[in-house]
Amino acid sequence: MRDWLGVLVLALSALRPVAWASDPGAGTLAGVLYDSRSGKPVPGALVEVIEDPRLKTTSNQDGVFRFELAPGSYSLRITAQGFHPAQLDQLVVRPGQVTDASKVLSFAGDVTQVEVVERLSAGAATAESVIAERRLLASISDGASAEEISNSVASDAAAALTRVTGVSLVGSGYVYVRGLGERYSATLLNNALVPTTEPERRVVPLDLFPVELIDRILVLKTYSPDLPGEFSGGLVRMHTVEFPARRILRLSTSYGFNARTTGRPFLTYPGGRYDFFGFDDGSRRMPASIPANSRLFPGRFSEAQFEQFGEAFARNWEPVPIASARPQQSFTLVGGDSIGRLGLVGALTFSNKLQRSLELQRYLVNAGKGEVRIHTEYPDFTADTESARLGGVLNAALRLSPTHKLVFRSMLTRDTDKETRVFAGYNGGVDTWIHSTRLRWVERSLQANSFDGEHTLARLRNSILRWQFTWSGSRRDEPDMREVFRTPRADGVLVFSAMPQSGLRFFNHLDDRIREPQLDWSLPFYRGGVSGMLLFGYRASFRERHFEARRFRFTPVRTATLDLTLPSNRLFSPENIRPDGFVVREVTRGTDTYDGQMRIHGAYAMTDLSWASRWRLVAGLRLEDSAVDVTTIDPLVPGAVPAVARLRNRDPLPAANLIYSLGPRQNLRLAFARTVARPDFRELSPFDFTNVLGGFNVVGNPRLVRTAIENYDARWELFFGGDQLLAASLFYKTFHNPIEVTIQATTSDLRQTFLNAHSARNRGIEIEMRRRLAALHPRLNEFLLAGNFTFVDSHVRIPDSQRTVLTSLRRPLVGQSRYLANLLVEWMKPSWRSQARFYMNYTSRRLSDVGAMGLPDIYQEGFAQLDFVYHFHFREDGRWSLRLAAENLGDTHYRWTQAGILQRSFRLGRTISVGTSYSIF
Amino acid sequence: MMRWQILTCAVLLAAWPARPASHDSEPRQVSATHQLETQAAIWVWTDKYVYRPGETVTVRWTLKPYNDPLPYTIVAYRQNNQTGARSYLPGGGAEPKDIAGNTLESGFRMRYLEAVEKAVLATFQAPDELGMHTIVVQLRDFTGTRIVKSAYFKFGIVSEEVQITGNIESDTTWVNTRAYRIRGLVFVRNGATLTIERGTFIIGEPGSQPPSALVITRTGRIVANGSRSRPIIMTSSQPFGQRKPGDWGGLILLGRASNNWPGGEGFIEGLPDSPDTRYGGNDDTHSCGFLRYVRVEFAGAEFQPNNEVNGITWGSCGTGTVSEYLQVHYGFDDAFEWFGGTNNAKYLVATYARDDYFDGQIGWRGKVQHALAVVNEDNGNRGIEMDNNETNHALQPLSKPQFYNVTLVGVGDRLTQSFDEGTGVAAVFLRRGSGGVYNNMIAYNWITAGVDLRDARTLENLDSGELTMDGIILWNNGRSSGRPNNLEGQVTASALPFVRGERGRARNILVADPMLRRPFEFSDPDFRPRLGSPVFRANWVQPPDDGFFDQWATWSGAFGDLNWTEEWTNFIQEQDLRVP
Repeated sequence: MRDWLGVLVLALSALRPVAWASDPGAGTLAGVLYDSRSGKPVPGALVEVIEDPRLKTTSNQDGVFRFELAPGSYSLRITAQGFHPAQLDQLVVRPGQVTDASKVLSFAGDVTQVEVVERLSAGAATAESVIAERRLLASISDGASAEEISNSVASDAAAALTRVTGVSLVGSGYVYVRGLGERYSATLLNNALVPTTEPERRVVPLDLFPVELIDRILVLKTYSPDLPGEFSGGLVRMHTVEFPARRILRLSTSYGFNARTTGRPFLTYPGGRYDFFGFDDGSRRMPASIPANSRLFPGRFSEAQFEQFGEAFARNWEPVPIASARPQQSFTLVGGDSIGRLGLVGALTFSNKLQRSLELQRYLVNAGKGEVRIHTEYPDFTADTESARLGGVLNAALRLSPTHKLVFRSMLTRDTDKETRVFAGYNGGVDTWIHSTRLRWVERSLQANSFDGEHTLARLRNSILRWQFTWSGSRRDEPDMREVFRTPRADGVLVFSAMPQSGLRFFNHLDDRIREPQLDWSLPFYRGGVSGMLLFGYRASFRERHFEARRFRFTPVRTATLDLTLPSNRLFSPENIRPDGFVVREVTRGTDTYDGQMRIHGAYAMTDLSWASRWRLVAGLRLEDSAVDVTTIDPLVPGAVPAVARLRNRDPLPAANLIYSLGPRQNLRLAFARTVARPDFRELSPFDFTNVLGGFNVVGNPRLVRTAIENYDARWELFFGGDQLLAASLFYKTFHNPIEVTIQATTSDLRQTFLNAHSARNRGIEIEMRRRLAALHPRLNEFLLAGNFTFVDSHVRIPDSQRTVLTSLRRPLVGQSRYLANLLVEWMKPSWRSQARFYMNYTSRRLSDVGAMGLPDIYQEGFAQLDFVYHFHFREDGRWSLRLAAENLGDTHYRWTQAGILQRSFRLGRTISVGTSYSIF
Repeated sequence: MMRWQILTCAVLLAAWPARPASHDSEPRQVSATHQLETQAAIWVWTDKYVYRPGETVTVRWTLKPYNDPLPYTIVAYRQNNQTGARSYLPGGGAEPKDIAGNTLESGFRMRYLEAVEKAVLATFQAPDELGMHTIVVQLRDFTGTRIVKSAYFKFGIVSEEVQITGNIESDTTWVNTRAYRIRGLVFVRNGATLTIERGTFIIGEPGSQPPSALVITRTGRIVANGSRSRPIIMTSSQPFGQRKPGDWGGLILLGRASNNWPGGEGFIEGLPDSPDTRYGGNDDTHSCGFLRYVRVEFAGAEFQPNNEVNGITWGSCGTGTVSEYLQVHYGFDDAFEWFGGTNNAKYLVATYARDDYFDGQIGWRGKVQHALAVVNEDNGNRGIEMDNNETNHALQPLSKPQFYNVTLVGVGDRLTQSFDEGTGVAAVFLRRGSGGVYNNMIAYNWITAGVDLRDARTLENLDSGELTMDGIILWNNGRSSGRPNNLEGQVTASALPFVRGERGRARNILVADPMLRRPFEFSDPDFRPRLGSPVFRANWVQPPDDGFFDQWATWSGAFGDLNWTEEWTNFIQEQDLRVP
């Protein structure tokens, strides 16, 4: 994988669709040239404007060239030594706008038979450049560019990825590639692993990344040895905003109106002063009087102290209704410049959104004799969430000399949810009607910093040395979650109920850090008809995880002395917190706190060979040593003995990608690789813990082994030129010892655990197409049609030992949809300064939860989502634009069923948003 | 705040004589003279359970005369239960004296009863006599020798307190000259037998997670043979007056009898996955050991957020297990719970549990006779809660216990109910396909109903004869929601066709006041029926003579004339011994 060589490949794309110009009369034609072989920018190429022979320039060290031109249509001719000459036609230059004319130059050795001057039209260069990048990649990938992302309604990376072939979104942030769960995918941000904000997982949820900060996302689907070995479904590579060709400063803002939220009643609760921005002002912090290193238990503390502890918690338990929810709002500022040798780019984004989710939730039970009954039913499960998201990126590049470059990148993103949840209904577990209110605050943040350098070593046969050091950390802070349950008395009045989660104050905190040094050395060589590159590299990933939680519960001692019908804020008043009234007891579990450590050393050697002008082989071997340690220790018990689970593996991971050029525009690719999937930290720990997010009790399994995966891929692709293509892929994967969820019978409830299933396989077809309709009829020139379709057939075999508990022993993998489809229709009319896009995304039904004890599995039913976006430029120079988006046009009904019974359902409502963007420079 | 509390107590006390007529006004006329009985209530206690020799023991007592017009001689003594030797209080000495210090020779002084509240009765130095001791307070009649009423309190004098952590893997005996403090989970395993001498105190330490609990695994056994005078007491470490349900875990016995989990094994929820935490097998005669005269107090700490430990848990114990004279007092979860298995139990007392009192599921098929459940104002949920299996209501073998002679007393007409399962608080709550034989029971004063049958599978068991009832006395259930004292009012609509004899086999379902003697004087109650009570009707079903059931118990409810809870139990409410 060498696209990191083309760091600036998409220099301009981040800034689309906004254009700028210093001379309002003139426009700019600019682009980046790069090598089809290595992806490296091509410096020193001669670029001539055919219409005006006086205008010529050479590309600089980053392969960038630029012309200031009068409005009109131009053609460019590009010549460089060792490359085929290329010509770009129909480049329309508009006043004040930049027209992108980036180009991939074909290596002269690659194409010898045909005289090719590739032609492409402007306006599609961004999508094209991602396609071009894909075309160059040794492995199979699909991607989304900044332009595509910003033209869609997606607000975060996860949503943007749903447009990508074979990708589906489960939950709000987890990306399933080719039907394989997040266990089988990894995320690289600027080429480094990202820590997670989730205590029970290792993969970062992608909804954490605002699209405004993302330049492009690629999903790699086949493996090459320079990648981390934990790879199967796909590897999501995100790159933050790239360096602009010239000074920019752009401000945008947008307001959204959700039909089911905005202007309607909304629940919230009094919080801190900075809630709007997603920062807790300290009012949710654990009271200072609660000892940090000792469990609160009788004997250790006196009754009087317990009373103080109880009174120290903020008396803030009740939801507060708002009559009318305000619209969603978001603001973005992007700026950048090049000052001599220094390039700088920064982006800042903030949004605050209110969203009501009104769900029907049911839990079914096997009543025996084939009868499945509704056990628990909450008809109006309401969660009102205020999400504040703040993100920033600062990247700086310094060119020390034409052959030496240093880049510093820093990204910070924060995502805070302030949730007020209320539900009521019959709970079959406790066999009564219950009413719950829960106030919650979850602050997630991620900071990633990296330094990298690139050095062309002329003395060492023009080899390239690249190094990178990344240090990143993520946090998830959930301070002071409060929950109260009530049950109705015979007279209907709700009284406080001392059910297990009632009167709860829950604090938890996660810290996840990764340090990752990398070194890659690539050495080009040419010998006769064979040319290519040797690559060697090393990457170490040091990951440390710390999670801790404290749970406290207010329980009544003598209910006869309390009026339990009082509203919660009065119920938990100081006069009721007393030794025979409410007392606070600590219910922190010994297994609530754990530390995880993962150390991976990976080294690879691979070669990238081309011969006979049509063949290219990328093959190599990676050797990965991994050490995983999970330590569970009760920090509140002095001298407690830690429980340690460990997993040690050395895995040789061979991979080969063979590319055969069927013609200048057609490739056939075949790939094979062996990869692994390792258990998450908690899955290895032998202790029973309570999933902080779901409330499910889970016990790890220290006997788990890592999964070995064999991946086979074949792909045919046809590039029509520009951003148009047609591609079809076949894939087949076999899994040995895949890690799957199973269920254990306990005393009354069931608990979740993990096991290595026998085997699983996953196979499928992907078809992707992107075509301008001008080919059909000239009048359809304004339309572009793009679509992709994925069919996945997966199958997992569970060991027979689970027959007694699990309902289905042969089933698809959890979260895998059989069909995924995307359709995009784009209409663009430059004379009206307008562009519109219509999106459709379809996800077929998928297994969401495994059924046990004779209950069938739960499936999420198939759903389609329709979105529409319209862009209008107020001014010819494009400085000021308007964006109108209609999201979720069909008000999609999300439904889950079990045994034919609706198990869960909700609609999020249509959202109309209006935004405007203004470029100061 | 303290003042407020005292005020509350005072108000409550003041309210006592005004209690509903059925409880105490009528019997006063007959009781004392004809039945050698008084309505006066007495409880006595020391300032803690376990002393070292030489420590000061303060004995306090409360006496509520309840207008008893007769004079009594009051005698109090400490008895060494090892030797039987008595030392009369308050002054000490082996010569019998009344509490004013009069000897038998000088003549005991009779006195009219006067209210005493939490007063010091005596203080003395704990003698160097290791083992269990009892404080006894007696009301004697004019003869000076005939005892009308006694109050008892057990405490221990020990040489040391032994800290127990980790597993017990070889035969071990705990003796009553020491006390044992258990910390964390203590598993008895690897073929080991834990023998506990009568009169031994076991104290669950707080602060650990998982909480302190004694777990008898499938590879271990417990032999805890207490006696009426020297019960084995497993209790909280906290000072008297400050003890709360959930101060420690509880007692868990895991066996190898069958249950209805597919595969036959389950895990104890909240504990690590290991062979030590599994229960179930195929030996229905397996013995988890012996529990006789054992009290488990203030247990029920949380193992995990949704799961508290029961006082005594039997996980698939077999018929070889002996369980009799057991009390669970103030548990945070259920008092007694069975997960599958076949083990039987007799003489069970469940007092003031936060959740259910007798709870069974996962295919339990044991027998229970002589069982009492008492809910006080601060606690309580269901009397008997029986499930077949929550996850599949039709799994076999069916939960099908046989209950005979059970008294279930709720708090229905003094509603401050707030606990768990809100509207579904019935005396007998059968659901999720459970069967069973429920005979000769009293369901009195529960919040929603006397009998509630929850679902289709359970109702089908009526037709198949897997669920039957014979001899149930229902009274005052559902009073807080205005339900009348008739069949329609005393059971839920789902159970009405059954109790009316229209569906299934239910006989002798009677709505009548069981006329219990003093069911609501919580710290010193008496659940025996008064003369003329319908529990003595002649047509109650005879328990079968199968080697377990006592056929002589021909009445309905847990008690005839004999109060088998006397001496070894403890009913004192925590607030009633809290010294201001």
